[in-house]
Amino acid sequence: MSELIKVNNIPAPTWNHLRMNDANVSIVKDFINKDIKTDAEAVTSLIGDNGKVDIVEGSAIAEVKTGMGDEIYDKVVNSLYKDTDNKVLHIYVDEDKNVEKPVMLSFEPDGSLSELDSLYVEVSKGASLTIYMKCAEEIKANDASGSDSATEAKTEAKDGADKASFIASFKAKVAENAKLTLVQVYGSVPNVTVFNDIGVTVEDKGNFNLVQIFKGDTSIYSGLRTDLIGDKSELDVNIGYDVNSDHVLDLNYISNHFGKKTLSSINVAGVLYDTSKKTFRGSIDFKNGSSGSVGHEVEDVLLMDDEVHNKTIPLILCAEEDVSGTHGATIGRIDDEISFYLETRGIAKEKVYDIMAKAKTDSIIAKISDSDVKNDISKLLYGASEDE
Amino acid sequence: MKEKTYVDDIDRSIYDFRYENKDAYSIKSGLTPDIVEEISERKNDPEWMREFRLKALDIYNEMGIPNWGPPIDGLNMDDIVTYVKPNTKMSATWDEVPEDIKETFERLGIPQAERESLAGVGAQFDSELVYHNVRKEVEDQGVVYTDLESAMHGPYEEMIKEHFMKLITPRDHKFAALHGAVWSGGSFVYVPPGVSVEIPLQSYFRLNAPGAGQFEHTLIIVDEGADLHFIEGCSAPKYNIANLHAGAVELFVGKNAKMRYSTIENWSKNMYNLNTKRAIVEEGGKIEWVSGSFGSHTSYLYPMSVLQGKGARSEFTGVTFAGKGQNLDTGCKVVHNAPDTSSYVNTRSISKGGGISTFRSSVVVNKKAVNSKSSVSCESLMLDSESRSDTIPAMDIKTKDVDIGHEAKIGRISDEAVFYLMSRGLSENDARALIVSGFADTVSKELPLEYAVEMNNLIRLEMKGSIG
Amino acid sequence: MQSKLLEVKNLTVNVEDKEILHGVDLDINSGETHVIMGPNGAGKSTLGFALMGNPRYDKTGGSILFDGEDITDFTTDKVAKKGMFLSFQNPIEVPGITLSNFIRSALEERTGERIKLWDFKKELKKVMQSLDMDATYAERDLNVGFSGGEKKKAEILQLLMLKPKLAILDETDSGLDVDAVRTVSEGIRIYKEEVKGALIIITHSTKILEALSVDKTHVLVDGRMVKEGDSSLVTEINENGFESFM
Repeated sequence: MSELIKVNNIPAPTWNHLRMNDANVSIVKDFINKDIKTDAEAVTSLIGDNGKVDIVEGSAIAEVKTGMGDEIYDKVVNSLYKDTDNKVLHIYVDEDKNVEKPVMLSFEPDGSLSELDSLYVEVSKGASLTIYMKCAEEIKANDASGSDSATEAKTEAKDGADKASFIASFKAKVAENAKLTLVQVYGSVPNVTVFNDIGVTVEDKGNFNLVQIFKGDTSIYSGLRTDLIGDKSELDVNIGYDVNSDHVLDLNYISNHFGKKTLSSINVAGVLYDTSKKTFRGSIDFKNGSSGSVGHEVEDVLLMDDEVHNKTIPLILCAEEDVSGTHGATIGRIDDEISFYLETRGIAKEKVYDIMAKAKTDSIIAKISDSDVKNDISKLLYGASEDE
Repeated sequence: MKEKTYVDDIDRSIYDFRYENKDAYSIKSGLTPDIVEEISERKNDPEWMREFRLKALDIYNEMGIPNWGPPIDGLNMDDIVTYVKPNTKMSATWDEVPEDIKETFERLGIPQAERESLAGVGAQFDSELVYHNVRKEVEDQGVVYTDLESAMHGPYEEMIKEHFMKLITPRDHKFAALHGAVWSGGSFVYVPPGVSVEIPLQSYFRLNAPGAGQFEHTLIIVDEGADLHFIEGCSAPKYNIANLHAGAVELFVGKNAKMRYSTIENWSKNMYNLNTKRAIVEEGGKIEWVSGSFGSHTSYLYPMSVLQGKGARSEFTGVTFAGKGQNLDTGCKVVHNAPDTSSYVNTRSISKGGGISTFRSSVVVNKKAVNSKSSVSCESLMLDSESRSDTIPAMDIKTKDVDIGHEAKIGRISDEAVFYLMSRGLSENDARALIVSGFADTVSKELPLEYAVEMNNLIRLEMKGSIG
Repeated sequence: MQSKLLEVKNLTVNVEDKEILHGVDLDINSGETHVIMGPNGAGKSTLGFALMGNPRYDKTGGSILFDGEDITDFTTDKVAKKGMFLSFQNPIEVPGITLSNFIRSALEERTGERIKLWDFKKELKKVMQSLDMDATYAERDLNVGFSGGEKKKAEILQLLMLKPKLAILDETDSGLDVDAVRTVSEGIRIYKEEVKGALIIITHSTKILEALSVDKTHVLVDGRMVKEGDSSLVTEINENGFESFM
């Protein structure tokens, strides 16, 4: 049984014929009925006496709004919380505690049934936490050949509507002076359509740092809504993607600036291959009262094949005088001058594109400060860590 | 003493004078097939046009109002008088124009501009042209500049039939359909192949009647290798009831032809300006839009360029100033339909005194448009925190060999800049006005001098009372 | 006996259908240092781009032999892989790839082998130090936002890392302050000493040449080599200008 839902609604709609205001997507509603035993134990030992880990009901976190919008909750997620054993893993970090090791969560949806995984994180005053979420089939070490793993398009004929869904719901509250880092990597997850949905509120001088890498044989819908409610609260987002075959990557990222002197930066770099489609909606919303706030947004897209389809709509909404917002987008091919310059250093024209495409993901990986996480991602994507 | 609010009602006086046109013929307000038939009959339409109007009315009734953009609930079509005919015929000399109407245009400076710097002028008062004239040397080049109605009964009927509402069809949106049903007035321009019109033509649209709508249609065909600059001006006195402007501008720019279309829009602040403008550009041709939006209560205005032929180009330069009580949703659209096409968009928006300005754009690059380039740059200035400024640019790219760039900025007047100018003896008001004029000079630089002066006057006017 | 490294014969080059070089000859032996001088617009940069195989520079006649092979029709990357290097007068900004990742990619392309990050970083750091370059530049996007001097240093850094057989330095010293010129000269000295490669220096000043022993000087005027001489020709031109050749 599947149902058509609207996700990733843009905060200020525009012409309907462009089909950018939202995404209509079919979600398969046959879900695995489960609770969260397995991960909870590992996480509990990692958090140790820095806080606590428990299981809560979905209704407990209903008020945190996310980037994908209400419909996925109203039509799918809330009924799973209510009528099944799907629960929310709740991580709580005590005041001033710094959890040094990243919390690693690994998902490998098998695609037979849909799956919901919910996480709710509270980082108390002055505390810090890093969460590393990985969703991929592990690739074998021997087919590591560097950059070309992503360029080889797999062209399985499949209909997105019939695939099982993998819903990752991440909600968080970042308290005063606290810092939450979330690193998410989606490698190849065949036979599912991914819904990756995030909602975070950040209080005074709090910081939410998000790094996402979407690089696999999968259609992905991803949303983020961050409410910077505290003064001097910050959001830093870095996204790298490769989309190949006939897959869809549909992104909706909203930074709501409520507090004074808030800061947001959304940096997106990606590559489109084959007949893939990508939509990026990025919104910086300066609410009245957010004086002294700054927002930057930038997207850089490399188009590799004739049949790709790129949609980009970067919004700045502003109801406050004393703010500064910028956005920029560069879409298309590599400039001839740049290409020639690289060729004079011995890189073949065809390779220039591959190298620049790989550099896009690498530049995002470089934003990750934890070296274990960095190496794990390199291994996942390239079969070898950077240090080998 | 500082000037404060109500600036609109005081300082706009040069635009706000109105006179009671007792002799004018007005059709009943509202919109029914009977009203459309009556307009058609009064205008002596050919049969094809009568049928076109009735079909457009059906489409109007089918279509919904947009679910994006500023609210238009203050606009009730049942209250709008769609056709108001001044009690005069169109003349080719100002002497034959009735005294009070002539006085209106004198005060707007139109006859003077005509003498000094224009190749031809059309002047519309409410629903009909009252004056149309073109210089002899331009006429001798074979340039046709007349009202659409008389052109429709002359040798250009077939050409008009072939082009009229083919670029903007009634199906485009509800107000395009409305326009198709009740259009009246406007200009027809034809520039023959290879002819370059050295100085601009201008049409001026004046809406005088309260509660009325103006639906003029401008149809311009610039043939192969020809060159034209067309200027459009509009204004209206302020009333307490809603007025509606739903004009249409269709521009056909031929192979290797070039056209510039400049507008300074200064409708009164009770106006709903739901205007549609579109150009189609053939191989090697170029369209340049220069657009200043200052007036209106609510605007939806996005001139569109369809780059249909190889190497066609478009440039759009716009400024929008949204003051108190205004919600101006402006921008542009570009469709790249052929290889090697290029588009360039550069806009500035200013919001003040609770005004809302939205920059909205779309750049669509279709599969055929390989090797195309597009660059969009928009900047917004917020003058206070009661106002609002939104930027909503969309890019839809369907092929790989393209260079698409976009940049936007939003911010405020820097205190340092104000301080710097004040240290040289300017008042704070003047300093801020000067900075805003400078911010908008991308547009004023593109306008003929006298229009640039008018635009800067408008900015100064809007800036008064902005502090205090 | 020294072996011939570069042999340019009667090379004519068009740019946008206009002939810029009208039959240029140039012979360079391994390890030699040549200077090409000439007034603005003489075609000096065109020669560099043409040797490097820039498709905008159309070779309409003549031939280029490099290290025993006719490279006249080679694509740019092949010329580079064969061991020629062009230092740009205006190095291009390349957003999206860091200086460090770029050099590593270029080296991997050249050798066809994966280069260990640790070894690479060690060498890069050493060379950057010798060029007085701040280590943070390695992790910045290639040339993006670099000052004029840092861009030129980044070119020399690539020269020392890629170790070509022939380096063409196009106005590498122009617009640099005294310190930067000294650093760049030091880089060139290291190249000569450690790589022992040949050099073509396109310049209009002598500062950069002071520390080098110049084997030959060529004067290019209006797309033709009008004079050839030893290093004393440089001094002569500096005193008398190009008038006598025009």
